[in-house]
Amino acid sequence: MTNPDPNVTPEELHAYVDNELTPERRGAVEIWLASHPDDAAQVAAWRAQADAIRARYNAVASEPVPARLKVEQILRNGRSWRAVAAAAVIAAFIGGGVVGWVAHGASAAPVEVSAFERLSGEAIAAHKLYINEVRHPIEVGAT
Amino acid sequence: MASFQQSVEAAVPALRRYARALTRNADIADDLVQDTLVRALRSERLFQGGDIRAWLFTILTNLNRNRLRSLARRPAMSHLEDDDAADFSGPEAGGRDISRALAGLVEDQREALLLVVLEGLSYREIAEVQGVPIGTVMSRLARARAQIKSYLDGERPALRRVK
Repeated sequence: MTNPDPNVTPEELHAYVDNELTPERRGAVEIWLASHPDDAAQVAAWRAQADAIRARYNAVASEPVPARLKVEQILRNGRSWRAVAAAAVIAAFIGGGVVGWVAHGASAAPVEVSAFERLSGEAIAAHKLYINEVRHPIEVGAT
Repeated sequence: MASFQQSVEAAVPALRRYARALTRNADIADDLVQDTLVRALRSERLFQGGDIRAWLFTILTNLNRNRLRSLARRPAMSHLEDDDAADFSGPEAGGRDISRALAGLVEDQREALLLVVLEGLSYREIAEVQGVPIGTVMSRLARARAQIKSYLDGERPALRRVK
């Protein structure tokens, strides 16, 4: 305890910069850096990187929060989104039943194949339209 | 109950900052934050306690990884989004600024570096966010710092925008 290992690993240099060391190891690293200028330069460079990153992006946290990121707003939209989701599930269920019924009829009577193709074409078109909305599900209106 | 929502609300500025540095695009960043908030508020019961910020950073990090995965299937789009770093007014005009250096990192290295440097998370918290051992977090940090240093020092590694 009074005599900590004087050798410092590269991992400890990172941990030193990131304040992850115990006070004892912190002291050992500081002693090490005083006599190892290459490591001291390395540490200084990492600190400069961190300062540059903070200087570049810290201001974002001080910007006013846009309305769409207010918790209140999201909770309000969430309720209507659940209604849309419920409606979509019901529509998918009914739609599946219709497709199945038509497909059954189509296999029985070849004349109906075009109706089946039209329906599946519409389903694919609807899929292509709404698949893009995954990113903003809550912006899809309830009506 | 109300305090959960208040804690989420209080974390929004930090989430925006992290998302902005992660994506270097203001619109994409706020989309990510919005998706994160929607999921967090919908799954309050899944929150096990502990640091709510670390939990929110985990959700955002995973959503961003999903985004990059779907982007990788459409590679033409990836060049259009980097509006912070993509200042193509001559090769040296933009300079070797830090956002370009960040853009050159592999995604999991960028996440680790930003979480420790910008958001002040501990190694243990980052390990939980990324779902890896602490040793992996430390090697990601070391590689991120080495690559940024060589980039800022003037070497020109191939930019890797997508993992």
